[in-house]
Order: sequence, then C-alpha cells, then structure tokens
Amino acid sequence: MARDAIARLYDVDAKSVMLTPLAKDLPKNGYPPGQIVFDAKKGNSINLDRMAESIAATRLSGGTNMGMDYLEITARGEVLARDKDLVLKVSGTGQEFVLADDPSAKDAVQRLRQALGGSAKEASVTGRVQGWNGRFPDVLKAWSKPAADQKRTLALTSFEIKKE
Amino acid sequence: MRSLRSVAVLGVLLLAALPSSAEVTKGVLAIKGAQMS
Repeated sequence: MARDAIARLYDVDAKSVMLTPLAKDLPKNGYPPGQIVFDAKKGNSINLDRMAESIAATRLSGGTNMGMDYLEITARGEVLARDKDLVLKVSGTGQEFVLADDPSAKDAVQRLRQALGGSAKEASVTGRVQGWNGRFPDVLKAWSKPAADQKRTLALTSFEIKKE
Repeated sequence: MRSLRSVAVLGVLLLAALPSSAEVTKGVLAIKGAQMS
C-alpha cells in the first residue's frame, strides 16, 4: 500500500519505485521489514507533505500496526546558517529543513558548516527525516499537524557542495 | 495572429511556473509490514 501510494505521486517516477523485502522469514510479530526506494521524475521534486497525504489516504492511516523505521531523502538546495542552525531551503516547494547530527555521522553538520565557510551554498544532502519512525497512523497524524514551533529536521548523513 | 500571440504568452507563463531544477530527488522508506511476494 505504501509503495502504491508513493508510486501514484505526480512527482515520483513510478518505474523507479521498488519494494524490497529485507527478511526471508516472517518475524514473530508478523511484520517483515522492507525498503521502498523511489526517485523523482526528472526536473521534479518530491513533496513530503503530498507523500504523507497519499499514504494517509490508504488504510495505513488507521487500524494497523504496520510502521516505518525511517525515511531517508536526498535533496538539493541552498544550505545556509541561520542563528545556530544550518538550514536547507528546498527551492520551489517552500520546504525547509534544519540539519541535525545523525548518530551514524556525528560530525557531518560540523564538516558542512566548515565547507560553507560562512556563506550560503548550493549542496546535495542526504539524511533521515525526523519523525518518520513508528506506527504509520501515528507518524502520518503527527506530520500533518506539527506543533507550532516544531521545525522539520533532517539528520544529516552525507553531503556534497555544488562546485561553482 | 492574435490567437498565436495568446498561446505564446500562455506558454511563457507556464514555463515560468515550472520548477527550474529537481529538489528532493530520491527517497528510501524503510518499513515494517512489507508484503513478500
């Protein structure tokens, strides 16, 4: 269901969407792990709000214990320092992410800050979207109605500065 | 001629509204509850 909901999105290349089971045997809790990989259509950007809406339109929005471990995205945009935070501005969609440390890459934010050298630069970043872990209904509900002061956060795992 | 000009103006407006480059380009969603085929 989640795979189909993602493949239906206008900005997603439906042919790129692949669901890969990660376990051969059914675990005791009955929910085998898997990964759904997907790419944006050329020239398009995946809107996470629309992706959440598409998944929420299925029965995954309620009455299930199916869940997600993480959502990792690769995004290209302008990275700049704002107050104490590093912020990724995803142009065209209005989405903005505060970049935070990920346990698997603890100094990634610091290295990115040094690479920026105090100025805003175009970069490609990969990281896990905070909040996309837990039962599907809980995650989708929280994403659709974030707290007033809650910032979208991306736990940074890798980055590449665009060469000028 | 007037209709051709209208089409040209509309074309320019549509091009201006299109995003100039890809932004969130790739995703991986790790889930529990994948159906195995």
